[in-house]
Amino acid sequence: MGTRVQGTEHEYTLYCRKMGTLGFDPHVMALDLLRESDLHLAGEFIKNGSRAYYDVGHFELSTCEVTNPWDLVTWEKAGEKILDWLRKVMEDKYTAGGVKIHAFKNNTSPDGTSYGSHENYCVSRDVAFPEEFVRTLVPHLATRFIYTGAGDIIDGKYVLSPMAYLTSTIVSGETMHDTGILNTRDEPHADARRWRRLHVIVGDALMNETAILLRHFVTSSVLKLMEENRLKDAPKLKSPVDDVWRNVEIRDPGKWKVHLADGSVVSPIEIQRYYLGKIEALVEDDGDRRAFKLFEEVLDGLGNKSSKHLAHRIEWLDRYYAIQEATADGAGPDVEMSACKQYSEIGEERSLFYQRQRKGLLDRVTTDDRILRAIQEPPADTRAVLRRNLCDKFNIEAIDWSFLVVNDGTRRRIDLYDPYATELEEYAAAI
Amino acid sequence: MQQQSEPRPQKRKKKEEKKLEFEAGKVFNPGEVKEEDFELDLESAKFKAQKGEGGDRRS
Repeated sequence: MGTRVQGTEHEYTLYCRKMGTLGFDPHVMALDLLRESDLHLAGEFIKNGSRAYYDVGHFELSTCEVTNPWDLVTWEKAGEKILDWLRKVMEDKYTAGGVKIHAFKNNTSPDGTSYGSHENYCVSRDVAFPEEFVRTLVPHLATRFIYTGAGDIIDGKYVLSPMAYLTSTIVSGETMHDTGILNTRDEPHADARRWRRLHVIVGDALMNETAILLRHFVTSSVLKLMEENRLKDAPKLKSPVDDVWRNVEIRDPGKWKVHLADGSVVSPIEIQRYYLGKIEALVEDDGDRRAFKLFEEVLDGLGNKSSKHLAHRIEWLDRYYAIQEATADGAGPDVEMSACKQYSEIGEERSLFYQRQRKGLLDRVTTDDRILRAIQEPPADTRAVLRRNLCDKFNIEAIDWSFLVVNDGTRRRIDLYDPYATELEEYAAAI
Repeated sequence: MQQQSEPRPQKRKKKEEKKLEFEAGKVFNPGEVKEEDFELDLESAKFKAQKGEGGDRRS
């Protein structure tokens, strides 16, 4: 399939029953600790190329630039582990008497707020925006939640995807209200003449490695097909937001419906099968083949309703089972909500997700060894390694995704406009 | 002909600081995980968002 620079941003919630009342914000404290640690690189960046910052009351972590969905899973999980380490350091350092700090990777918190988990894809500037994206990508984004949904309880009911449930319209530039299936934000963090950064905000924060992999494998494949103009016959949806709102509340795949512009009604599984058929032509290497096979098996499983096996790979389904198990003795809505949130705790000692992973109920697509390496190092095939090498060599006065300012008395600016570049000729000798 | 490059800015030696060191053992020990009870405060757990209110961060 080739490479495509991509990444994710997650707003993590930290919660401590005692800290808030004492006036301490655990999000800020975690960031302070990170910047005092050996993982810190410069500014808001850390050594593995990722960026950590405070955003609207959350600890936000953007992964470094990666080129494929397998690396995306590994570096996204590395971010989770970094925050989990900070959480434990804070528990040891700042709390006494067994007071716990919880950290969640989800999209809604118990205090009634929702927050984002965004994907970024580097896309050719040659593709007409938003027309071509609406025509060929929106049908994918409006139906992919059947295997990328995290599941959540909102308004007292179980929904397959909280962010799909909360989506308001087809196209929007907003990220905090009135959000769209397609977001129009245009901050390329690269040469804007060549690339657009597609900002996907309709996705959920996911714990399940297979679901994360499929989200990025399929979406980046669809973007490749779109760039190569191979989606001329993409399904035309009549009213995607209405269909999203209805389907996201239905757990039975047999009852999902998507209305097409020609008046016919199909299943979102069929829409995804359209993309599956097109993606087959892109499969080149072993990684592509394994991801493609997983995609095919997941769609087959949804079609056959083989739910127990599917739950190993689909988060909304496994979370639903976890909630059912927690309430099997007839417990009420509080226990239901508690289990729903506990699933997304990133601490292995309390997380229902990690409890179930330890029991072998969830399929993995990366390893702890790879994640451990990804905590310390950026991937070798993107700008992230160049940024790291420059920071290791020079004193840095300012840093962003696409430039550095070196503090050598001249305030030399080094532009990093190519997210695929791993070296700069003029600095190759120096680093 | 390529111009002679300017002298490269070199990294200054920083004063030795004691940094907080990442400890893999704190987060990579699934075989030794001691499961704990969940203590989430659910007093305000009723999420009141309405359909279509994407990302509304009410406080």
